[in-house]
Amino acid sequence: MAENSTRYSQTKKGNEKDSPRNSSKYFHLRFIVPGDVQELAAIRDRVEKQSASMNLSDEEAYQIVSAVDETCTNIIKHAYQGKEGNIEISLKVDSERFEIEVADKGIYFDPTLNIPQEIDQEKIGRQKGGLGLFIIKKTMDDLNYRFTMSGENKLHLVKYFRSE
Amino acid sequence: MENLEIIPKLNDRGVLIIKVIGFVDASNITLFDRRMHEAVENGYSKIILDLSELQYINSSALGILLDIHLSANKRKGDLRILNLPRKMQKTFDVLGFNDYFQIFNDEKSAVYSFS
Repeated sequence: MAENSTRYSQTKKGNEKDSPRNSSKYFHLRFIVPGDVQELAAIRDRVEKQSASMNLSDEEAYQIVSAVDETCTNIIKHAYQGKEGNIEISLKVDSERFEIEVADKGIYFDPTLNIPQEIDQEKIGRQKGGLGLFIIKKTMDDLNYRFTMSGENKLHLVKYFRSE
Repeated sequence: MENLEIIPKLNDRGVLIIKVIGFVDASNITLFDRRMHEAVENGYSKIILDLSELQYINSSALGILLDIHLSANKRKGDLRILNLPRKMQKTFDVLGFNDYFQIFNDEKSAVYSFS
């Protein structure tokens, strides 16, 4: 991803004790990328790097990366529908949870309305769609959508850390 | 280096082993779809998908695996998974894929499972 296509900011807080998930590793990172499928790999890399800094298991980190990738893919397909537009991704971590907010200015698209209640493996391949949201729902702890006054779709995802 | 390599290898027992290297997302899903369906359309029905070097697979690609599995079943074959990366196990689990696909950790067992 070209750096000039991305706005990026990060803040850290807390002390410098070197233990897993201590406050020195809390962060709030926000970045904006073009809504383009060619950006997905770079988005996943960035989210994976942030997850790695939190001593999450590979499996937990993969679930977070997957949730962001599926969300961005849905935005590109359904909210922007091939038109140009940006995606703003916010990652916020504290001692209890990994929070993700993904925002776009495409057409109104509430992904939570399209989540299958269950999966029929015999039909998924032909149905196309819905599988990504099902994965997000099953692997993240909270999933909320809102359409803002300024016309943004915002999907908020939370994964709580398992107690150590 | 390409971000997705799909390397088919036909062994002497008539089992097609397809190694997927890299990632599958919305940027290269069309290539993945085409190459996977070509394998089945070429008449192969005993298929092993080696995922040992797969970094990421999105939900659309997982749907394609189900399609291929069904197509292979119709030809009295199967699609079986070899070396599912540990980080992807939960995803397979929530989708019920662990019960749906036969999954192996070594190539010999996977090949000989096709009796």
